[in-house]
Amino acid sequence: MIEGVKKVVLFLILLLIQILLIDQIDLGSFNYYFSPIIYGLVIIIIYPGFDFRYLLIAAFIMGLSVDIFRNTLGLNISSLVAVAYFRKYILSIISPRDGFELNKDLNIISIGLSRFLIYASIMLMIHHFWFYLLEDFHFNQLHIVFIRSLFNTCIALAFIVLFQYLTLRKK
Amino acid sequence: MRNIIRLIQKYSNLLLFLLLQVIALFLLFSWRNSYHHTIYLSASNNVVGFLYKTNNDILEYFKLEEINDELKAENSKLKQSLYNYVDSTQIHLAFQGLLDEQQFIVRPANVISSQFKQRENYLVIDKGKKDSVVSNMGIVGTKGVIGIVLNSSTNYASILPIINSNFQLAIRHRRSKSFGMLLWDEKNNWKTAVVEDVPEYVKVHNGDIFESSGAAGIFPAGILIGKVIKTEKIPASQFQRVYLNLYEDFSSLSTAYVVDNKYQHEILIIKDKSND
Repeated sequence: MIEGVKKVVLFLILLLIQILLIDQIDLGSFNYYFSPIIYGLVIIIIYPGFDFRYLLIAAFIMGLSVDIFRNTLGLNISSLVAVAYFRKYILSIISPRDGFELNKDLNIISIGLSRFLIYASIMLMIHHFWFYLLEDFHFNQLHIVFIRSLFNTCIALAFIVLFQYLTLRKK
Repeated sequence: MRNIIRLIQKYSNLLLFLLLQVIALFLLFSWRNSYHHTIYLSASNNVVGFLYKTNNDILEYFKLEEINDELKAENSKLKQSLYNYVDSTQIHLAFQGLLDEQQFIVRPANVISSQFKQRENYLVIDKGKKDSVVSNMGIVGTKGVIGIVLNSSTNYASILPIINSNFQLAIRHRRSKSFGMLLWDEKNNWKTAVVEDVPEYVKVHNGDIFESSGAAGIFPAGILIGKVIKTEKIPASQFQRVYLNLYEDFSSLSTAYVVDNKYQHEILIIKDKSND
């Protein structure tokens, strides 16, 4: 129960950072390559034993609340649900030989920095790519969409690692 | 039948995923321009609007300086058009091209140092020769006349304000248009000033307004200076003394406008000739 409340609070904090800080930063023409999506961190770090169907529905609700703020109904829902769905396949790809501990959150301490970087970057890449593809909604500039999501993945990854260092050090 | 149920059970995760995606895409493509979308958003507006407004209230503080500068620039433009205003008695001159519409040029400035407790108070503004501010230009504040430019360096200029015992300016009574001489000494505090040489026959009431006369060519006519609080007859003379409450608050000056009269040198030449 307390874990659940913690996750909700974490999501609200990320939501506030996303819409009040990151979405407000204006870099002129670089905005195209600087619009990282970080609220997906909740889906990324939640422990592997979490019920899959609840995860999908949780992703749907989170995406909806972001959509309300960003006034892009459906866009964030779709990309976040996709991230939640592909998570279990990526977890099975990068898991160590004896598997993850099912009840422990995935972060830089519990699964190690390098493994977390690989895992988080794949997840973020899916999130960004899905998001920008749906936003553009045509395939003739696929390489630009790809480069754009690559840039933003790097920025979001840097942010997430920083965020984890700041919040996990206390323990 | 059992096979179908088993199939659904087997792929339930995928089906849930597809269902959610279909809902999301349905929202994205069909609801976006519909009536329900606006209803839904306006219903959620209270929370969202509150959050964005709070955020904006906080961020506004950091933009205040920029906004101030913009407002100052706009104000100086408005003041300039006001000072160059052509009334109906002169409109025929304007049509004939005899009247220069831009006689007065107004530039915004910041007061960066001010005194109001001494006998000889001086102000400094952050505009100088670089912004073509030279001596004898007028300085107008947000509410009324501040003073006259005394000296200017490259980037700064010193101002002789009304509240300096060396200050003198011919001003006029707004209602009767009769002239007087605006003076100040330390017996008055920074709120008040004196007008000397007002003829006795001019009826000055408390609350009457004194304004700039435009005679010296420093200020355009009609800028507010002060309100009458007291009049006093000088015994054995034809004049009365008028005490003014100044419009401009000299204890908290921050914005000033430099008024540049293009034809001021002509007025000075004529005055010199008539003195000879």
